[in-house]
Amino acid sequence: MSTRLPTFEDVQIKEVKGAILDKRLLTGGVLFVALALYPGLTMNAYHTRLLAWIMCFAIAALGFNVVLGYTGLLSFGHAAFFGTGMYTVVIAMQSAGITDLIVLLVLATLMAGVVGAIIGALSVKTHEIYFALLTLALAQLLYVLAARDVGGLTRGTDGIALNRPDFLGIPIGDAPAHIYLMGFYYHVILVCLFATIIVLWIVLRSPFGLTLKMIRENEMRAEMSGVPILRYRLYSMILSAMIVGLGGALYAVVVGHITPEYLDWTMSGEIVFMTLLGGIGTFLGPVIGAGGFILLQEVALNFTTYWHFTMGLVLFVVVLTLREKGIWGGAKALVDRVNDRRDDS
Amino acid sequence: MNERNTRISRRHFLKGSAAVTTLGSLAGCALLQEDFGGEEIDGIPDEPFRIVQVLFESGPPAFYGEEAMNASDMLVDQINEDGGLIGEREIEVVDRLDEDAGPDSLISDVQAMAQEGEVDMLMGIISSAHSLAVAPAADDQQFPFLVTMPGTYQLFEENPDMEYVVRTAGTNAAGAVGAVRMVEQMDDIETVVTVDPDYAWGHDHQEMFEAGLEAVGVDVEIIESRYPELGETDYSAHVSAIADQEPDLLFSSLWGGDIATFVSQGVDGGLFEAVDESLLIGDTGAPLLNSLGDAMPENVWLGGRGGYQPNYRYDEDESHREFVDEYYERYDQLPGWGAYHEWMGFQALQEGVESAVSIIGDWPTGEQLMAAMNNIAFEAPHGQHTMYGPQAVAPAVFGRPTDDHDLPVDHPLLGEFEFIEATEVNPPQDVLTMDWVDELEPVTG
Repeated sequence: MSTRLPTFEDVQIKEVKGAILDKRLLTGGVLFVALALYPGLTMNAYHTRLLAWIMCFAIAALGFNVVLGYTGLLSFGHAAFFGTGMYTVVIAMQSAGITDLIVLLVLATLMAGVVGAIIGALSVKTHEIYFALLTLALAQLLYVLAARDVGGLTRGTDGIALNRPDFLGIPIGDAPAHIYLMGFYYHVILVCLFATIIVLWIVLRSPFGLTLKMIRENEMRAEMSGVPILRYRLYSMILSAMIVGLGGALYAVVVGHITPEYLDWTMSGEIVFMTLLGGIGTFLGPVIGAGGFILLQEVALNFTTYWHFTMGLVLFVVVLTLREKGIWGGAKALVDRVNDRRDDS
Repeated sequence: MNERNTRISRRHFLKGSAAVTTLGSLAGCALLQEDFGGEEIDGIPDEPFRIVQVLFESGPPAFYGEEAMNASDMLVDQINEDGGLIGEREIEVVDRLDEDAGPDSLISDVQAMAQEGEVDMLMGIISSAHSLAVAPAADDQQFPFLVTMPGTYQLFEENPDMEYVVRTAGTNAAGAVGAVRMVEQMDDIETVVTVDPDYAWGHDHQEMFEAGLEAVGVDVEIIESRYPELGETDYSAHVSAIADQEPDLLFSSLWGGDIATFVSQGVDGGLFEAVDESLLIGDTGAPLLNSLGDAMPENVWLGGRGGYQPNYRYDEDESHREFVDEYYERYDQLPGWGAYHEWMGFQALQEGVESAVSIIGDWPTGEQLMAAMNNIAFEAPHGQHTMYGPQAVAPAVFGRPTDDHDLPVDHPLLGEFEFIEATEVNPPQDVLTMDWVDELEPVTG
């Protein structure tokens, strides 16, 4: 029996070429341009920051969905990767004196991948609730290390502030905060988000991604087909951790002050919430979920002191009515139904 | 205790000087008020001075936020009854942000407020960690932020160049070093156990207390340091362990509901019979005494960074008496630390506006207003509340629980007050707190 496994090289070139003409890609291009022009056209720093915030978490939620939506593993420890990304940036800046954004992002992504490999290696043998609890417990270990200021790197629960990084030797970090965000950093996040979408879109449609789906759908059948399940789960954890870490690294500069709360299980819960809200069964659902979650929180906070209740209620309704489709899948289903009716008439 | 008597008499002298300075300052303010009455001030905006408050409206520390909200509602009404700031511009609290939403949301809101330009100042905040995140963000946005409650000494030491932020709460150095000063005066203390919440506030206090004790050279040993979780509900293991050690002194910076639970369970577990003395410095006083009632042990010193006890200088200080009476009348309870911190904030605002207008003859910009709040002093229950640059320096005040008081509540309040001057519990301006604590000099009578 052949044990040769599908690799990235098997991506169908034709499929990719065809996709270029896909109207979805065209829509994506238009959206990218619109988002890129938004700060310059509106000069609205608040909206720009809000969009930057959403996009960072959209990247994290997309990364998380690799494990939940594609591999079928519910992790409650993804704050570990998000926080690792954040702390890597700030510690590398302050302790190692690295100030270049690109180097920092690469370092943070790799470090999150390493943490993902360790947590993954220790947890992928377990299933369902055991996997969720094990990832949660392992992530909490990192939280405790940061909160206790082990090694004197994190300054405990008071957190640690970071300066704005430079870019390719240009001391852009010295620019005023709103100019830095609106004129530069927002666009870096935007590029990272679209790059993440494209990379994930390709990877998850490659034989590698299809193998992950196979494991999710029928683990035993995958195993019988010769797929080394544990290794593939580990790969998906590493990939997921790296993307979530990238989101965290990008967000560290937006928020400017890192506390251990970003490593806490509540942060993992928020990432799960976003992904569920958007729809775990859809590719772009997590992006919509991140936007929906953050906007909902901002709106709820403005209108009621019972914003926790409001958020819980919305999640309850979404999960109960739309299930794994979430907002994005639900919206797509609605559009399809409207189109069907129009065709019928 | 001869040394102690000497010190107390010196403090009485200091209190006297503080009172004289206060009178001088009030006279100066009265003159300023007269000036405003005689002249037309240019450029006073038509709309009220719009404040957004940030405090915990939900979550465990919400009781602290509630006290602050109560006090600010009351103080805004009082100021507006007199015509507003400098008698000309009313104050309006246009919104309150729930700190429980976390720094992400708070920073985003600061950006929105700075962008929209419809709010004049952000005020409040309870969590030290939140203040470290939000204050630099507000400064980045050039948005005035009057920080009223958190105690971390790192706020201005980490961000020394902030021009749009001032803090009217004393730092946690006052409580921790104040405790060192108290130990200096105590006889027969050889062993100490510390119990502090397991986050930066607690660790900072413990480190400062330990380093301070070592620096002043008192012959005491910290035999154990315990760090219960923030929001712990069962302290029985800690209580038993400490009671078994029978230390001469128990030191704690637990605060809010935590200290109430700890003391309550400590009383049940016989803790306060096993220790000779306790120093509970986590902003403790009336709220704790209210929740414990008659169960409150007597061999404890309560207090912290400021004289925020309703019956402290109640008779001597008219403005304090009015504050306590009005608060009690409105809310049927005595003001706690959150309320006092807000009071200091509003005093700084009033004083800052007066000062700025008297200098520039016009309504100040946000930057001018915040600059005007630097290096001022105003009246507080503990005498002059002085700002070293943008940071208040508070004295430490401790007291013993007693039923011997005249206020209309049926729970104990504090008596036998010990006042320790601000300069003895805070570093000089521009000196880092931990550097100063490491070199702390013993107080000589």
